[in-house]
Amino acid sequence: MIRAIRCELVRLKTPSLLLGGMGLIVFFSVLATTIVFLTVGGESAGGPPGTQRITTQALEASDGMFAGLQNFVGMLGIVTLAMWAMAVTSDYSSGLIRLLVQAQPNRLQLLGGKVVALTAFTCLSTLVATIAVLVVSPGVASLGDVSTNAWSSGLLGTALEAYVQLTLCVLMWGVIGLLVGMLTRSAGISIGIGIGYLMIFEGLAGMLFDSAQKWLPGSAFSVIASGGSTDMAFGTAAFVAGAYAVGALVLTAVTFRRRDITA
Amino acid sequence: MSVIRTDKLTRRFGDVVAVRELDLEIAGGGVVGLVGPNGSGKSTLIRLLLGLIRPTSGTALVFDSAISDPRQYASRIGALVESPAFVPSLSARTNLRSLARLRGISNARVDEVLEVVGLRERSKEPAKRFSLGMKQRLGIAAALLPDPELLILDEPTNGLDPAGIVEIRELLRGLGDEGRTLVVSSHLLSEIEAACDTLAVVRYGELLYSGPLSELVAKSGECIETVPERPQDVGRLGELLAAKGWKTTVHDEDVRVSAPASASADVNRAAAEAGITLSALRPHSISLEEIFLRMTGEESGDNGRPADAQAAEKLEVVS
Repeated sequence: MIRAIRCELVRLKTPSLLLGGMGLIVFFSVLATTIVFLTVGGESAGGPPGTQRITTQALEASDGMFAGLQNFVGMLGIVTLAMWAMAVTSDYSSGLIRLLVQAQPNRLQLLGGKVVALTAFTCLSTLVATIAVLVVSPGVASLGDVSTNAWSSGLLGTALEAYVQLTLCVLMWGVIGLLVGMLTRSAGISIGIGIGYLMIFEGLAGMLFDSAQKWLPGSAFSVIASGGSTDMAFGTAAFVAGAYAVGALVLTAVTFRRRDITA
Repeated sequence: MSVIRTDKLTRRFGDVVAVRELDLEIAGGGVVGLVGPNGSGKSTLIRLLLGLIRPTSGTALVFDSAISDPRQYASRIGALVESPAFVPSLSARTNLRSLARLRGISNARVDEVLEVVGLRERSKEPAKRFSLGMKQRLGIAAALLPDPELLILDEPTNGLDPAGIVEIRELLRGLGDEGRTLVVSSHLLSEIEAACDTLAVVRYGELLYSGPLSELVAKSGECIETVPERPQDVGRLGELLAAKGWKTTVHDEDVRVSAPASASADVNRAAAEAGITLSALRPHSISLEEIFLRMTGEESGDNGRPADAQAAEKLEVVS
């Protein structure tokens, strides 16, 4: 599988993925942080539909610098979903899959290499995003009149915890993107499904079945990014999200292994 | 030793039979032409041999290993299936290095194959800047990476201009001279005639002929060209000779009779008895194209094919 990983890493160096994937994750992280700190006003700050309101008090807490990032994590999830889906669909649309399967007929190894390489790429992207948030947060906090006195205590631990939670969350979205990409073999449809699911389906499900919403993937993934919520503990969220991710990986592997390569 | 052997190999796509109970044996060495009209099942057969798709029934062996486990022979085979595929923004060299890593092949081999296909000087350019001919050569380079004993090239001259076709033809000849087995699929019969020693003809997924090209030409090549003095007699002459039991092909100004030259007197007599004067009566050497059209019985691959064969082609293109 090492060969498959190395092959995939070479192809991930394409400018479109580097700028489009990693660049978008970093951009949205900085944008989310900036919006939250500049709009906090006094009572609360907003996020995309379905996200929690953030108070000034929350931003001034020791982990406040990452509050914006955690509140917009759904957007980062969609970007990651799109990136992982495109990594699959571009192989089919370009016909490259024919060469790859010829060179490595063990399709599970091929898929494993892709997953590992994309995981590494995503971890790097979220690391850069976390560093970017660390850098810009003090500046936008002062613009928003948010006190940063509490931030210095345990900064490294807080940053590491935020990084791990963010990475776990977006990786889950990535795995869903892998599955949707494998099933649809269309980047556009995959991204449409991702956005439609997060923005519409989970929102509607939350309105209709309030208690059930927390068990849906998007909600569970967001809870992981926040390190737990009042509705669901981190461990429970990790278990639920992990179950979705494993299920998605198994379905992806079975589909890839059995499907004819007619591209 | 057979490099490829299929036994009643069949592949269906729903109700569509793309390859039908195909029995084919290809011996090692030389250049083998795989010809057939569009939608005849050539690409499906190649995909089956490469393990990209699975047979519905029947078996096939490549290097004596079943195609159900292509891992057994993947390192001995290289292929270009349909159009060459690469990451457009990456250079030719990086594209090949990516594939070389997947196969566990050194970067030195990448440089070697770039040299073989004549792309070394331009290997740092992104693949998207390449002309169609260069992309085809890059595709062949990718197929050559594992230094394969069996090289399968599906329509390697597709879309190329005459100069590009000549380039690829010379490249194929060179590769064939190295002792590899080359299977070249094409519907350009002049290319097959120029490059191949052996031929396999398929139509509607069925094998029509397999053997040496020279034997096929010799077997099918005995033909008498008859030219009536009055061009309006061409149709009547064709009907007359066909009624006498000869296989005929009617052209604009002549009728070709599949018969040895020794039958010329009989043909002349039959025409004279019907009041048709012949202005010319001569042996004609038949081209592969004519043989192919006789075998497949159509002017175009898309004419008169069963609905399932046409649907098979559409299915392949769409999916």
